[in-house]
Amino acid sequence: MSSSKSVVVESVIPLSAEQKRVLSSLLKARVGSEKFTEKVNPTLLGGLRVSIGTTQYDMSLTGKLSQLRNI
Amino acid sequence: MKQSLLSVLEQQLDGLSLDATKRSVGKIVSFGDGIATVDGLDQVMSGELIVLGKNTYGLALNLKADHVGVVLLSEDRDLRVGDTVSTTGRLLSIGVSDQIIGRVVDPLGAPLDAKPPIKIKSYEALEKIAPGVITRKSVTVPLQTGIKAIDAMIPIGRGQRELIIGDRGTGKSAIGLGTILNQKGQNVICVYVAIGQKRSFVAQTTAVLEKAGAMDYTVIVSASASDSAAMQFLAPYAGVSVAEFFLKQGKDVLVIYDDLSKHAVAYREISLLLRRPSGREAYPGDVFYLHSRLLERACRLNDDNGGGSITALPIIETQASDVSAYIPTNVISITDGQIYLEADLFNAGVKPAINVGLSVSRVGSAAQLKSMKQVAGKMRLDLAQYRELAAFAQFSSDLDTKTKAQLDRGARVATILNQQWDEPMPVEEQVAVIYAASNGYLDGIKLEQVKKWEEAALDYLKSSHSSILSSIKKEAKITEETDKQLKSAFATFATTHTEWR
Ligand SMILES: Nc1ncnc2c1ncn2[C@@H]1O[C@H](COP(=O)(O)OP(=O)(O)OP(=O)(O)O)[C@@H](O)[C@H]1O
Ligand SMILES: [Mg+2]
Repeated sequence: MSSSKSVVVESVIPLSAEQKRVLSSLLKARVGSEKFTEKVNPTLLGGLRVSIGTTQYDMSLTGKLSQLRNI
Repeated sequence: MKQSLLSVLEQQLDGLSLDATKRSVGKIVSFGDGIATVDGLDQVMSGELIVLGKNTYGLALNLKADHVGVVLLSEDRDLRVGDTVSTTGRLLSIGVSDQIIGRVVDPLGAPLDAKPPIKIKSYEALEKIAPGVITRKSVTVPLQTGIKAIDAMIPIGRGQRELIIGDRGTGKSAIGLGTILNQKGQNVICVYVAIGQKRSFVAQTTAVLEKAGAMDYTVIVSASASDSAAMQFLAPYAGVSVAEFFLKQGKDVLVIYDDLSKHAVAYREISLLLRRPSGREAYPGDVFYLHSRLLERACRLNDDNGGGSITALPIIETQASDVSAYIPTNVISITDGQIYLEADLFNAGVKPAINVGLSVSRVGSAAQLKSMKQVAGKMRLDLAQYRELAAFAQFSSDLDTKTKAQLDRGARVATILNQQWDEPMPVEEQVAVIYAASNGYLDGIKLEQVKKWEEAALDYLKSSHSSILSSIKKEAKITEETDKQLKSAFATFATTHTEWR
């Protein structure tokens, strides 16, 4: 994945400094850039949602609930 | 009670893993006319199911370098420009189980009747590669339509694709529906796909089938004229996917596509809105492939693959009998023959209005009952001679006795072939009636009484000589013994019924 892709991290409440530090190092390893935009999104209910370019990794509670609905 | 509910829930949730999901996302750039243009969605597959906004579903059809063209499957009322769009990783499919029999569903499997939801056993992809050559075998088992003219002269075999073609209002749907009625007790599952039909017609058809007890083995897939073009485009694929679910169980299935002209029009609408280049009659270049990949899925599988079959009866509506228009020629070339219906015949009272000369079945004769073959050949000849002579006879008043006799014979054979669409006839009775007509047992009967004679003669055979009928059916041919019995039965009948002479 190229480093030019924008990374957005969504969470229900603002991330702590420690959480941000861990995320940065993970992103550096995976994406090549440790920069990301933070977004607070209460509709997630819990967990995180990370978008790298147009690919979205959904680890939020809403995402899981909607998976449940599709069973 | 509470406990059991809990345990059911626990059972359902047991072993469930709700993992992080990965999907491609994008944004709506513009939408309208049932189409949305979407930015992003880098990993999207062609034909993938797409979620737009909260719960609007669409189908990714056009994949371009800078945008994706999505056809909406539901209304766009809740959409806004800028809404998030995401992939689902699922190609379009329809949920099926044995419970779908007797139901009316839309192309995505949602019930359209007022009955409870269908418990789904498996999801069948709408687009599937047709069974390969090695898994197939040739057509050898007849599919009886119950229509004398067809079973005698244009026989259809299980696994065949036979086109029903004709102008509007010439009885095309009636042939398809009559064939469904005749499958009662024949171990055939029927799928009737209504594409772009009026809702009232679908409701009426359902009621007719219900009343005749035909819904016990029939599924109706409907995308009516008021549904989106996308739904009409999907309907035939959904129909054949339902058929394939039963094919996998080794069953024989009959699918009727009513009709593929409207299907092509729906696809043209989608293609034009997606700004695909258009060709002849403004249809897109791949409209041939649209129908060939559908009809290729009709098949007769060999025993190693379950031995089931899918018989397809696609219907095409022509304009002013023009079979050389784009869509008719396409579908004629894909199918194994056609039943050609003519408005002139229909208006002249010939019902079903089949033009026997222009209708063919290229594979069905291998599957035809031997007894039917024995009587049908002669009838075809009688009929052909009659049509030829009748044209000449119009001009001359004094005919020699031989010509007159041929004309009389032909007129009776033609009358015998007239049949109400909702009165299919078992094949052994067809054979008996055709035998009588082409062996001259009707020659003395007044033309307008022929139908009465037919009814009474069949009643007589059924009540007094049922062994003849069962022999025709069982032996699959008219043995010398049966031949004698038929002759004496019809002779006796003639002496007791002189009122129609
Ligand atoms: N064999 C028949 N005997 C008597 N009536 C018939 C027969 N076949 C069809 N009809 C009648 O003719 C009319 C038209 O038939 P049908 O709807 O099947 O035609 P169609 O070609 O499918 O028409 P459309 O183009 O509207 O789809 C109907 O009212 C039907 O009942
Ligand atoms: Mg019709």
